[in-house]
Amino acid sequence: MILVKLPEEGKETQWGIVELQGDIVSQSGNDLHGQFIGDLHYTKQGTPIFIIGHHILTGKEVSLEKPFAVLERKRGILPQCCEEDNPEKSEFRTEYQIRAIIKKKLIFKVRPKPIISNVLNSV
Amino acid sequence: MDEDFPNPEEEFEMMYADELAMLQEMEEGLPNEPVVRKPAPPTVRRSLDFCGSSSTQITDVISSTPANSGVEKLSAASPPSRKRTIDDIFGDIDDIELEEAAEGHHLSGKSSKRSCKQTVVDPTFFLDEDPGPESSHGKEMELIDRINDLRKKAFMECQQGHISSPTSINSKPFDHSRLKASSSITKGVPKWPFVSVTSELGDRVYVRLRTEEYMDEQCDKVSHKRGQSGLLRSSFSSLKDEALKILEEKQESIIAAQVAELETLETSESASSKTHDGNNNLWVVKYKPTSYAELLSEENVNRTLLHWLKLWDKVVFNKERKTHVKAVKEDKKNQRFQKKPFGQVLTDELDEHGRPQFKMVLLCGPPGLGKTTLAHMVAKLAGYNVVEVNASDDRTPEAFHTQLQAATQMKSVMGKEPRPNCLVLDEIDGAPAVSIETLIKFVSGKNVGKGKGKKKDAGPGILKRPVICICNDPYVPALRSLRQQAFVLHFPPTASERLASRLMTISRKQGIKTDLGAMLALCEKSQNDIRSCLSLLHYFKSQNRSVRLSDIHQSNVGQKDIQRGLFSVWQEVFQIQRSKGGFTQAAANAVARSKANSSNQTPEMKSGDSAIAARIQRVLNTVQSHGDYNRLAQGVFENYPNMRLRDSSLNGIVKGLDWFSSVDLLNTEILSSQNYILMPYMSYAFAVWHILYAGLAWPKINYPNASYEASVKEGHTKQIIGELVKGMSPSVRVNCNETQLIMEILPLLLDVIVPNFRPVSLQLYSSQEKKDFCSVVSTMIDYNLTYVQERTPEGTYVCNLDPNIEEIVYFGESKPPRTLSYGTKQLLSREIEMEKMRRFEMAFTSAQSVQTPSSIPQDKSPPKNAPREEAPGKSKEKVSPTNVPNHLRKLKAKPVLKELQTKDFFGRIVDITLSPSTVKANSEAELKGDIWFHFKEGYNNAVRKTIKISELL
Repeated sequence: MILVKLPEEGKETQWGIVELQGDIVSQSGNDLHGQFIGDLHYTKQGTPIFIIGHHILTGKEVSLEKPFAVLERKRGILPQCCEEDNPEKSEFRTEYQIRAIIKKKLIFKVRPKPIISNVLNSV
Repeated sequence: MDEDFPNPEEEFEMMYADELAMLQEMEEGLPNEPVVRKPAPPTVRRSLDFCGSSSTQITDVISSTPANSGVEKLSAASPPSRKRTIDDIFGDIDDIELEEAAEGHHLSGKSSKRSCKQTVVDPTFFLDEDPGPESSHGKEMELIDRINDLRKKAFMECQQGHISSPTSINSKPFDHSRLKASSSITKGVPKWPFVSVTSELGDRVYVRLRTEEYMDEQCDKVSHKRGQSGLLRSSFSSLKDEALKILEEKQESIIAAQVAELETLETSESASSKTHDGNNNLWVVKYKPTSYAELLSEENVNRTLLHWLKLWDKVVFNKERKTHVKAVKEDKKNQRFQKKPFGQVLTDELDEHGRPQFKMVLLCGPPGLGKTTLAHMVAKLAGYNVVEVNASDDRTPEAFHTQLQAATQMKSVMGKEPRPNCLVLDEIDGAPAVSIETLIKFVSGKNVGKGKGKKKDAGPGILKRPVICICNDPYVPALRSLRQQAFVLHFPPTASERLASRLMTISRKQGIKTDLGAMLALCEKSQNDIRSCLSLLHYFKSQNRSVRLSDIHQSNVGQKDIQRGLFSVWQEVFQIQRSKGGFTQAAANAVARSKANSSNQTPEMKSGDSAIAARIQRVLNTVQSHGDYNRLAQGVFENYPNMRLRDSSLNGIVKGLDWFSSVDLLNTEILSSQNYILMPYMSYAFAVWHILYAGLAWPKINYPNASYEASVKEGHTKQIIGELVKGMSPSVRVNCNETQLIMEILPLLLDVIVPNFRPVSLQLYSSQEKKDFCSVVSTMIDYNLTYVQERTPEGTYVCNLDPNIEEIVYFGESKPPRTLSYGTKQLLSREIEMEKMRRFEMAFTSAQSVQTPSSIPQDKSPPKNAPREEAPGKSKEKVSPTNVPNHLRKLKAKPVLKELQTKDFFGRIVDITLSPSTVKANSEAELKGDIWFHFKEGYNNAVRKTIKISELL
């Protein structure tokens, strides 16, 4: 299972977790990082649809019991710190910055359906 | 004198005395005349005394006498009678005078009556009346004088207000000599004017006089207002007449008894009284068995019936069932009814309602064996009240049903000891079948309905009383269903010895001189028919003869029309009876018969010896007694070929066949012209056949069913032909009728429609074959033939002609010389269907085009095509274009629309969808090339691992 963090659509800083039952495999063996995985859509009823390759997955949106925080580690000298503390010390400082708080996740645990033709478009 | 009925004179006196009594009573009622009262009572009483002994009319009179007359205290009766007389007769008029007048007339009326009878007995009349010592003529005179005085007084009193005439009349009769005069009064002229005068007063007086005139000839109904009728219930004259009649009868009966006694003495008969009784009731009734032990029928049957009846005890007599059932069961164990392996066994098992398994018993046997007697006797013995329904009763289904219900569900409440009913249906074989259906429904159907309810013992629906049916022949078709439902008891003929001994007892009782041999002969002659034996004995008795063997042989009383079975009649015809013990009897019969119908003698009889004559006679008797010549002749006709024929030249056959044809002719004539005068001649054919074909061996006779089979076959054939003709095309139908079809056309037609076809597909046929094929199709259509697929019992499929004319054309075993293969037949049938449709279509469209020629010009083209296509026979291919136009249009319309849609879709989407799809395809290709989703089934197997911030740092 691989957790993929993706920014939530629409809202600026809302993030979500996409939880998949299965692996996302790259055929070419490349790192998945920065790769285009698939399309995430919402139906009118609000159920998320994830299309990966020729698979289509339907899932559901679940709010997390414990929200996660997305931290960003920063190394370096913060200008404020530098000013306050010793400049030497500040170089080695790591900081974590909260980028977002994740309150929802999208679970796709149903067996994916293969996409054969252009039906996709009509959906 | 007192005890015996009085002679007319005395009787009349009694009447007179009553009048007197009445008179006295009336006077008594009046307060102003006390004088008369005292002398009157003695006479009254005396008269009453000897009235009391005599007939009822006279007692009526007594009841009207006053209570104070002393002897009989009938006070209750007297007041109303007096009242009535006063009210009715006298009304509102002054009492005394009128009353007296009434009495006067009364008396005069009586006296006149009397005078008619016996000329002048008036003075003695009173003397006769008074037997006692104190009473005397003088006293009587005195009384009358007093009455006269009284009347005169009254007359004086009422003279002021009333007319003198009635009183004068009254006074006159009351003279002593009046009685004599009264006869002259009626005739005398002076009286008559008075009558007319009195009429002014009212009807009463007038009527009274008239009654005097008519008294002798008219009954009491003439008028209600007469004094006499008011006092007595019926008029005096009628009473007198009746009394006379009774007297006469008595005398006659006495004389008759004396005469009878004399006669019986003369004939030395045992008892005179018995003959008297014997004349009244039949011996059959008289010597009916009175107890179970006296029953003549076979013990086995009796017992079984009784047993069956006892099985009902549980339902019918609820209380006693335990003991009874026990008794019955013990009985059963002894007899082992259940163990018997026969078809119908009477079992003890009761159904859920506690009834025996068989709700009915069917007693069957020849007449006169005592079936009815047995049923009655046993039912009575078992404690039932027998309700009998026989042929003389109304047996329509409705009446039958009500009777059934009444008998089985009601119970007599009134009788001394109310008993449950037991229904005995006598002679049920004569009842209409519908009624029997009703019975069966009643017995079985209803109790099924009740069974659902599961109400035990309750409910009026179920049959809770035994039903005994009695019939002579259980194999009557109407009884078929009944036979299955009922317990059938066959009544074996009574043992001759038993019957003969009983007959001997009876004849001993009756004082008939006879011997056992004669009785046995009688039994044999009557075929153990008890009833006919008894009636024959009775007949002999009435002739006061001793009964000897010869008498029995000579008499033909004991013979009755016993319906014999068809087979026994045929057997009689085909078998020469060996002369056994009963031959003498047969000969005697023959002699007796030949006297009766000597004119009927056949030539053979004249020529032949007595044996042949007897044989012929016998056959004739049997055949005539059966009467169904038609059926009998059929039987003979079908069975004679199986007989052993003696002449090799077959002359006998020829002769016999001549007779068959003559019988046939006779029968036809009888049936067609209703000329039944020919009927007697039919029986003689049987005699001839008997002579020709009969043998000593036991003939094996089959029931004649050829005619039945033939008629069935004929019906079937007719049906087929009818079907065929119905669907034939008019142009063909015009030229043939049924016989032509059967005799000429169909046999050939069967060959015509079977040409030589190669078993290949239609397309491969040569042009000649196609032509043949086409002609077959059109022929078959013309004759409304087709092939129909049928499944044989073996499971294979066969194509048969639809109106299966093969059945008509080929007889029995014969087979058609060649047939088409299954495939060809199917091909043909399909083609026929097609062709029919095509023709129909053609007719239809042409009709349409005729109707609206201008409106549909396009339609014209397909019909034109159709005939052309028909002719060459390339039908298969052309079927579609011609056949389908309507169809196709529709079919096309749909696809076209779809196509349009798709086209539209295509057309539109080509721009819109095609591009994305292609784009997508591209992207998909890219995606496929790289990333895909690998789904893992099962649960989420994430391993959680605590991570500390420090680790991250």
